[in-house]
Amino acid sequence: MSLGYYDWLVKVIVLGDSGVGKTNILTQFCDSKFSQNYTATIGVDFKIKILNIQDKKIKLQIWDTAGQERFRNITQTYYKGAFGIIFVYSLIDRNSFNNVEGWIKSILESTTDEVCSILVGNKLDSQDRRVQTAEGEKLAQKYNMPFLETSALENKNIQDIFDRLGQNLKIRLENEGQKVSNNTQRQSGQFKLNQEANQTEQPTSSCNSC
Amino acid sequence: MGCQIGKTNQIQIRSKYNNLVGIKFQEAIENSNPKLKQLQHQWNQFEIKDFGAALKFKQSDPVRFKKYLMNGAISSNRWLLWKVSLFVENIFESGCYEALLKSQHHQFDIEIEKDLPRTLPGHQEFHKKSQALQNVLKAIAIYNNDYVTGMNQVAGFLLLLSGMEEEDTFWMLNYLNINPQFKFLQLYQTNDSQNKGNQFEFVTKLLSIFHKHFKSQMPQLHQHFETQDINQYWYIWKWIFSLFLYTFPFEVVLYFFDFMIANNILAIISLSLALLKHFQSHLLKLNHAEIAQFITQFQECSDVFDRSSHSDHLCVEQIISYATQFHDQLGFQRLEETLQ
Repeated sequence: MSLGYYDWLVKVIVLGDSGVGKTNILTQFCDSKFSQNYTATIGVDFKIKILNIQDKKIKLQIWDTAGQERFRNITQTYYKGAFGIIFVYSLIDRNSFNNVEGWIKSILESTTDEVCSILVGNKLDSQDRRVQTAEGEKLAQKYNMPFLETSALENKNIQDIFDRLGQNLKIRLENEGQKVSNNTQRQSGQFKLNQEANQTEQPTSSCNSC
Repeated sequence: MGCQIGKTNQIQIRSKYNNLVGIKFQEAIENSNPKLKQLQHQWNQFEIKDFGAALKFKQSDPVRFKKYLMNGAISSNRWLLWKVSLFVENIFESGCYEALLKSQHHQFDIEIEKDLPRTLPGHQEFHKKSQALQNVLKAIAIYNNDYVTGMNQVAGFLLLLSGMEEEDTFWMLNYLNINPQFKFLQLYQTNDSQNKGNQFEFVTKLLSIFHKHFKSQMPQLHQHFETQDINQYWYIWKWIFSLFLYTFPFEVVLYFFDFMIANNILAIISLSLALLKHFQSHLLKLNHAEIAQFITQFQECSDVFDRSSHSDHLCVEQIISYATQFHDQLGFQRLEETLQ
């Protein structure tokens, strides 16, 4: 099996207010580092990472978005075809928590596709908490998604975000796979099943770690 | 592959100037490239001591003034030349800056504060929240009633060049904005039409000009980008939106600024086309993921001034020379006409 092999290719987007740590979560996950030297995201960035869930390899194409309102129009064009969504708020920024529902609604409004989501409260390392764990849990329950509190700085629960999301993605993808084989006419634009997986491809080359 | 990250002494040179500001900062960059030190000679023949003298030079010989600035200013005259090049009318008001800083809380305060620690992170001045940057951004936001992430990069860069002179930086940004050849802040303006959402109208226009000429000037590379599904937000969008500061190291952007200020805002497009032309043969060899990495990580590039035949190295003189050709050939001197 070549390094470039994967079972599914899935598009994931990361959404949330400006400054909640979206880029830092991704840098920690993809490159195993926390960078004090990072710039505010303008528009969109993206990273690729292969996730192993049991016996399956899911190639994640993760889109990092700018949180500032003014970029909304650009980031929205990336909603299409997203199969996994990570909603992020900061535990020390009350507003960013209050705005999460707005982000969720923007997804619900713009896509009819069923997506796998997860809610993440970041900056667990900070002493200055403004959002209680129970509040996050309640919100996640309301929208029926898993919930985690994380610290990108201390690399706490970061891998878990993707493992939890990955589990759900796998279940969904296997169900979809059933449907696809039951109805060969059906083509989903959301993900690609068992890619002919370009053998020469270097799957992690978009991550800085290599 | 790509730029050789973190290998050579270029990184050491950077660590030498990343704690300097003002003329010392520019000198350190100049010293990192002996070739550029030769620019000294073209300027030696002129006595440009103050604003008046520089303005006289510009008015008496505008063609030569522009040509020299395009090729690169030197640390001792750069700030002055920029000011003179951008000057259209005297907008300076004594006391205006202080008054703006005294104003109460403003709608952009929170956004500005968030961007402070994530502005030009390579430089020591901005490792922690910079009060100077906060002041300049606040004043600019109130004066022009607007703030968008991206402006912080440009303001931060000008602050470094000015030697952290806040008020001077504030006025330079305003000169950049009122000059009809630039209207800097239009880069960040959105139209708020109901059905389209807010779009960066002017940037969209620049993007369409870019894509048109990219296709006609470098059809093979353009085709390759299409096949490899290369997203405009990875490169040209960021190059435009942060005037190259998001992606490129200071030692390159400094000379890009000389080129832009000597010309007009379309110089962003000339430079972008020049960059792609310079890297064309290299980019053609790369696949989707490799291109994505290469065009987004110049910041970490070493050997910026390498003049060897390596096609994957940034070479300022070569890029400026290509950009000059594009700017002339594509009629970018005629701003209004091109923007129509």
